[in-house]
Amino acid sequence: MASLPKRIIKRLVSDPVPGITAEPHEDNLRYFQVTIEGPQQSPYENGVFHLELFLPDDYPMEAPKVRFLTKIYHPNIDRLGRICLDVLKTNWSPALQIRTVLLSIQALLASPNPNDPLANDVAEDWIQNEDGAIATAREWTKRYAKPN
Amino acid sequence: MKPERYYSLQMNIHRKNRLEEQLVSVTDPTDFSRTLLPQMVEFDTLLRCHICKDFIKAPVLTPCGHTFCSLCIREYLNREMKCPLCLVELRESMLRSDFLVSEIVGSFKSIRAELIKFLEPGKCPPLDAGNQQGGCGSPIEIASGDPVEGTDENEQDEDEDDDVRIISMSKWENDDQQARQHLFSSPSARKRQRTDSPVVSTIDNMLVKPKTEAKLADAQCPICQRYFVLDYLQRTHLDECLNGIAGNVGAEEPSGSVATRNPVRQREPATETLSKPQVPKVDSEQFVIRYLESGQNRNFNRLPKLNYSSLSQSQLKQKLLALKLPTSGSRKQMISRYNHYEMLWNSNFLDSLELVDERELRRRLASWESTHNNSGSQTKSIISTMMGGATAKLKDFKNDRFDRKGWMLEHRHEFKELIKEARSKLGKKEEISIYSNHTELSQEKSIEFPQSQGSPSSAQMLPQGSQGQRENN
Repeated sequence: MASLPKRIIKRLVSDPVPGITAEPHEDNLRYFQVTIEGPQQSPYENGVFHLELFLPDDYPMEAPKVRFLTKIYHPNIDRLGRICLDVLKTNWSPALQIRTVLLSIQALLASPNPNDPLANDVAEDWIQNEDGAIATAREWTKRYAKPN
Repeated sequence: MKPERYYSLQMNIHRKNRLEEQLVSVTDPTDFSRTLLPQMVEFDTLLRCHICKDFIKAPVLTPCGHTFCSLCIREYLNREMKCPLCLVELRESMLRSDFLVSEIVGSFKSIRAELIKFLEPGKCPPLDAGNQQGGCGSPIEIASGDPVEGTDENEQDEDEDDDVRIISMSKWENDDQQARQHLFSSPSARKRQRTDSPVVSTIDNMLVKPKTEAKLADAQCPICQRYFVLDYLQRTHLDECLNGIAGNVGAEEPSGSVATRNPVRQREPATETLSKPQVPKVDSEQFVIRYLESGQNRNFNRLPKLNYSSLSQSQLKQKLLALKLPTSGSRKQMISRYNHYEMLWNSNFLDSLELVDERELRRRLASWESTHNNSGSQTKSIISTMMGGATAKLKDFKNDRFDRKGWMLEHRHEFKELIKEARSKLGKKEEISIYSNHTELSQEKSIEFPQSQGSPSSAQMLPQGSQGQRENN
């Protein structure tokens, strides 16, 4: 299992996912710095979001730990950057790959689910005034998720 | 500033290089994507475990038709009782060893590096160059393992000429068919005894074609891979070969017998005369033989799961001792130790064709424990070495009953030492009021430190008790 992080890195390097980058930390191959481009036709379009990803010792038996570092206005992502996503919690399967997890997160940006919220205030806003919430999300994207 | 910056840049480059070096040793299906046969990416992918992403080791098949490493899936099923791929309910008892996949993977692994080299672009002509049959990577060549087909018209092996190759190839196909007919028409020929030291008949020796004759020899025996005059091959040799007279391995199963050959003399003429530029071949028979012999000599019992709720502490210790395992640590640790050893044991003795002995299993267990099963006892042992006999009091460390003041009084001197040290490091700015915080912090740090450190050396990281145990063994 020790070579698993290396295997993952090699996979990410040799077969990158469009719109997503993941770079291992120099000193800790289990820690990745990730960027995800906001999906097109979503309020997060044109934004580049930074995340951190950590492979626990028990990976892949246990899900990777992923967190947004960039501030984001999203009903399923709270202010600490924690993500409410089934495949990271109860629906984790060791057959999933890092790439599929990151793609799922990108898909979550494309389709926010305010009915299963993590950030309650955002979700409420989203349900009551969707257009306003989307505008806020767009503004936050412009302000915090600037591409370098 | 500048030299420092230069230095750190150098360090970065160094690190990057080191990582790249490390990555080179890791195989990935995409290694094939730049070869002449990028379709191999898929084949390579299929031979990998979906859990560890490495080539499947000791494969087991689930009732839902999915294959994983024995150890990987057993480990997962200890947590969740479902198939990682289709999420259908699954229990460990449903798993079945899959020796054929095991040997397919083993065989592929053994030729993989060579195959990649062989399929490097520029090393052989594209498919349509030359004749219709002789393109690089056509299935016939892979099946026959004849490297000349790929390297013809190249600088290598100029002495091979195309005509002969075509003839021999079409003959190969004919012979193959005939061989099949032979096989299926004579089922009695399938049950042969293996001869360990093959007796080479003199006629065979005379008829094995050396280099020059190989061109005229036209036909290769599909069973032993040697070249013969076609007539002789059809009339005499095939029967001999199948009957094991020529020192061949008898096959017990029809699927295996076509490919079963003599391990000692395998492909000798071929390697000598035809594949000079190639790296020496590994013993390509070992996987076939191992597959055919799988199921024999498997006298090991499944290690049972234990019902821990009905097991007293001493009974549990006895179970561990019977397996020569350490009995240190908490009950929970002993349980996970047994659980992991049970997985190691069963995946080794039930599903693997590369058996290791119990000592090796115990070594693997110890190395697993160093990273996965250390939290409780390590913290404790660290604390107890730090605090002497005061461990009992620490039980309540994290709840309200913990007597902070008493503790502080008792360890006044140690705290003072720590404060001194901290003061010398942090300078005079620090206020006395936060010293108490400091000491708590440093205390916690020293407790957590060994946990967060993933150490490669297993022996060092073992809890003290279990290390002693290991030495006893």
